[in-house]
Amino acid sequence: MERHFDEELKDLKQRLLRMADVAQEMIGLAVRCLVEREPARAEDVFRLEETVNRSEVEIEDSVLKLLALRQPIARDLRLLTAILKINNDLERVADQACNISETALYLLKEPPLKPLIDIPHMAGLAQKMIKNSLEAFVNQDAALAKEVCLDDDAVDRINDQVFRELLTYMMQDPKAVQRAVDLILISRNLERIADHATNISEDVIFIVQGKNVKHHLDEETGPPAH
Amino acid sequence: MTALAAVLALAAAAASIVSFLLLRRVRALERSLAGDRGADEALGSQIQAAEEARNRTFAILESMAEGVLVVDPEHRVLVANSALARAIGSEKARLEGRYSWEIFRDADINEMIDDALKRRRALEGEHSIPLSELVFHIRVSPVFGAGEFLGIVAVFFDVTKLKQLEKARSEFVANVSHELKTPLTSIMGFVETLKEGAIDDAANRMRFLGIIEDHSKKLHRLIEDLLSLSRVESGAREFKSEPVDLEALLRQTLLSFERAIEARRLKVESRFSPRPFVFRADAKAMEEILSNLVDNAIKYNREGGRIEVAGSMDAAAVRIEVRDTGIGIPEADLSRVFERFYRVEKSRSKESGGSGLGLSIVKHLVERHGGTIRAESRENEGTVFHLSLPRGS
Repeated sequence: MERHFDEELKDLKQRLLRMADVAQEMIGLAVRCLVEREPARAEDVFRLEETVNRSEVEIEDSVLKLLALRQPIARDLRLLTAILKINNDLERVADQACNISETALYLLKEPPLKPLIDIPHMAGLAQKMIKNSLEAFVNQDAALAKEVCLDDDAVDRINDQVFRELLTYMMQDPKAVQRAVDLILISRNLERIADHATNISEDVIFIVQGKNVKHHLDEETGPPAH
Repeated sequence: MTALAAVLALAAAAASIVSFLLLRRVRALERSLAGDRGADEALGSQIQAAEEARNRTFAILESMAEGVLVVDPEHRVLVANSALARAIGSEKARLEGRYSWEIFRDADINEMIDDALKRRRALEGEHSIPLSELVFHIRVSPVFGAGEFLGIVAVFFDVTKLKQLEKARSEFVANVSHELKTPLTSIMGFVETLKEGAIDDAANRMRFLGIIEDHSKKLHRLIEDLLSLSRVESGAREFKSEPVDLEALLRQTLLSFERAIEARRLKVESRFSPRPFVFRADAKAMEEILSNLVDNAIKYNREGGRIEVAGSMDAAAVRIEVRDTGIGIPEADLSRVFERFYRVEKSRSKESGGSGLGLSIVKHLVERHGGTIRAESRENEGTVFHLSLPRGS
């Protein structure tokens, strides 16, 4: 009985990671659409979103079934609830990639406002955070998960910097406003992706240590749950 | 080479699986025979032989530059060598025993492994590793042992450099086509204008013919430069080792640029030590190097600026500096100015009429002499090219 449950968990993890890989690929494609000015990549992103949406529903369904049928406890229960949350985060990451692609398509109709430096850098960081959060999930590595949470500050800083810089473009030239706002939106989408990576990492810490570190709650609560 | 590596990897991987299974079987036998003292000795040597064979195959796998991965039908990683771990930015210890879908964060690679396991057939394809510049040609083959399907072996060939070269080549072709087309379009345009009646327009026809001549010269120069570059690059050009008097060479070079120097009211200064400044090199190559560098120093100088050529030598090397007081090169472009057709600003070399190959030719000539060249620059202050050639080259 127990072994079968393990098989089911393995299958679930595999499907979740597959979905994660697709979501990760979507971020790469969306940024490529913007930076390399390749509108065809946006089409790829929209196509992949359907796959992610389908996976999300299927995974959620499987988790609910397992919760009802197996009534897991302790670490298994934490794993299942975390998968449910990570599933949701990944679907949101895919949504953000779609948003970036949509905005990029608007931007591609206009000449470039400025050479893009911070945004690709930020995209690289956000992608690394997603990759590391998944790595932390696979290896049940709480230390790596904590690192991801710290990286989030760097992304937030770049997001602020992008905003300040684009503000100067808008003040100088009213014709730049539309494009600058679009770039600010993209920067915000990337910042949200980094937030989802942080959420995933917090879930990993929850699975491994049974400790809820969201909103720095661990500093207030007592000893970890078992 | 890669085919050989693939065969080697396949053989090593198959051997490692077989020895792995053999070892497992021997260990099972050992357990079942526990207590039977008579079999102990024979069993011991069997285990040792199996372990030695296993260690040998692992040593071979470890020494390979290609990444090797062996996965069983359940997706479990049986073998992953260090080259593979490096390729995907992980550690070997973290890979073995995991599921393949746990270690690759790339949908395409996972799909390929899936497919090969399901259909038990060989597959190959090119995949880039996410968040890295690396591109791999991956060859996956099924492994059978005694008619039993044991899993797959995947060999990862690093083709990153090859891909970069391919990109550089296609960029070069695109650039050459563009550079050839621009003057040609102009020539064709003016010829057409002349044919359509402008030939009778006494006021303009000479001007038009002058433009055609200019562009023809530009085309000629570009083709000469391309041929020169290709001769140096391919190694077809032979270099002599003869005494070269750099001062005399500089005088000769300046003479050919006299008009341009006067037109821009430039001042040329030279400092050589010792004098006469003579060393052994290929005279023709030195002339090309000097002429390209002086040409640049004139083109990118400011009106009324200065050009300084300095030479010094010791027992080991000859050092030459060509300095201008021009617009300079931004820091970010400095390392790239020796690339073919690299332009600091799109508008810059169009105005100056260069082929975009001069510095690239210089770099190749210097390197063929066993020397080095680098550029130092401050924007709006000027640029210095430092050349160093080993003595006796």
